[in-house]
Amino acid sequence: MMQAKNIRARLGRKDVLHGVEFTAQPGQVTAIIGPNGSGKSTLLKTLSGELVGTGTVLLNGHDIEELRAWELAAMRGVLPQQTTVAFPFTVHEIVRLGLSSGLAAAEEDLPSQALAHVDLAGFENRSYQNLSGGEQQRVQLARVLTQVWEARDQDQPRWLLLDEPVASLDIAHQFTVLGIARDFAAKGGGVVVVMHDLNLTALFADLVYVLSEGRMWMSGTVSEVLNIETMKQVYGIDLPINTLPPTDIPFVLPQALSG
Amino acid sequence: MTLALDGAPARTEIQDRRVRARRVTLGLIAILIVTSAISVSVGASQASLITAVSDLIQGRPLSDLNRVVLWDVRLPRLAMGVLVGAALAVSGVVMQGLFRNPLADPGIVGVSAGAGLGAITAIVFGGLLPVTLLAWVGDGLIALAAFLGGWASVLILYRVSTRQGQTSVATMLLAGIALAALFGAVTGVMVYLADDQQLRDLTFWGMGSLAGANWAKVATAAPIILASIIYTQFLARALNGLAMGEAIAHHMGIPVQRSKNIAVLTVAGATGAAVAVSGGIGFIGIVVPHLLRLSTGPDHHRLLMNSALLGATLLLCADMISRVIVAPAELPIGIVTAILGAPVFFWILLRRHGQMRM
Repeated sequence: MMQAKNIRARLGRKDVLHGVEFTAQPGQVTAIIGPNGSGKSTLLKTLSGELVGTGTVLLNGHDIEELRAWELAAMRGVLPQQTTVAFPFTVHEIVRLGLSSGLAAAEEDLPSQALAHVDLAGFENRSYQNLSGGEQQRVQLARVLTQVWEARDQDQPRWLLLDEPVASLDIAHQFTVLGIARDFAAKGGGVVVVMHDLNLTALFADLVYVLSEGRMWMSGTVSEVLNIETMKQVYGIDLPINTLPPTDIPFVLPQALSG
Repeated sequence: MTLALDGAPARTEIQDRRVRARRVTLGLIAILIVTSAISVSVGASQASLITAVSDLIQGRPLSDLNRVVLWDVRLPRLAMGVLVGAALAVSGVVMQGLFRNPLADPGIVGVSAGAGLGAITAIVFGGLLPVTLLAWVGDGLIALAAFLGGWASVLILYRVSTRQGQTSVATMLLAGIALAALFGAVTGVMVYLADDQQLRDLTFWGMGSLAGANWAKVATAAPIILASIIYTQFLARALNGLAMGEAIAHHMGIPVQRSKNIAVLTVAGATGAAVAVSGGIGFIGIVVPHLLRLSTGPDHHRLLMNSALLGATLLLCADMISRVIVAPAELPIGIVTAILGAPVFFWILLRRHGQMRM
């Protein structure tokens, strides 16, 4: 289980998170949604241990501030919104960085397998810097998958923390990447994902947290969270929410430019 | 919809630059040995490596000429050239990895100037220290002062040019200019205060030279430089991770703060010791890693060791040029490396033009 208690964070002089409570279960995809500047990425950075705020983050029962960097890395992988690489690494060299040091020979094949999962088989020798933004994002996901290959480590779940993983992807690869997230959860791992696309969130997330101005507005299943009230109060826009038979998954479909 | 995580991936022949890098290591070792032999043989005097070696093999004592020229002059100079070349090249690799930028070089961004200022301060004011302390630190005083000067420069540079784990190229280069100007001014004050003998020492610093090499200097610099070079080998994974920024390095399980501290200390140690014994020799730290990245890629696991080897070889070559080109006089080696290195620096700038983020 991943549990965050009373998370407060400051960026510069601005308080970004005001005492956020957050819980994610293994076996589920947990989404964090909210408008720009609501603190989603900051919350994810706190959960990953990158940002040390006040409050506690427990990962599988361990306080992450007490774990060493490599112990934390064995438990969770993190995909940031975008990544620039300083030197002309090849795609294979980037993905290979996900392997821990002192690797077994059997793991040498993992980078290629991970690339195949993100639909980049055969890209090994390409220069990372010459790829498109979406391709770079998938290479980074392959690197993260290489780091946390199995969804469970003995009896402990591993975790994937993804910050807007589909923002720069075409629609087919959005499904590829969110499919990987679902699959990871199905195998017993935990997934926490920051999302902007509400319809994709509705399709893929088991549990949704809604952040608004640094506070947790509400949490629940997609059907509980996605409603006209949330749209109005959190996003400040009047939009109808419809549902799709037979599962009654809600969806948002703007029909005019003025909401 | 769900993607099978255990599907068989298509096979691609991976162009593994690590294999080539290993071959390059062997080649560089061979070239360094040959260059060393030539370097010991070349010079104004008629001393001969071949007669010296055959004397040694046949158990005859060395001729006086060979003993003085080879043992007292050329061999310490060879050792110092190898150490300084390796130190400057490895410092370049570590700084570029730390700053995420191929233009970061101890000479260009003021680290060598900082180390030089430390050394100069020790030369001019060292005499003011208590005699017992001086006797205790001995020749190490200049090296220690150079180390402190280099260390302070790297820390200032990193603090000024790095925000949230990302280094700004423009800020780094501008901060380097500011540092160099400041150090230049303080050095000017030192020159003003120096006496004749100190002035000669200081002039030698400015241009960089291996001419003053002796075994005492080698003994001072060798432990620091070798320790720094060996220590940096453990930084390879951290520098690879830092190429994607501090946050991702942390995500990958790299102890970021500790790695940065080690990187700064090793750069200061290697650059400081090199500057302490040879003055300001520029461009080795930028040319060597750049050439190797072109040939075997940016993976630091091999880049560090190969840079040490190529740096040593290049500095020996520059030293030979400096000894031969105006023989029997000698051109300061710093001038030779600048003439060879500055065009490469321009070339890197041009190649980066358009993709450089300020």
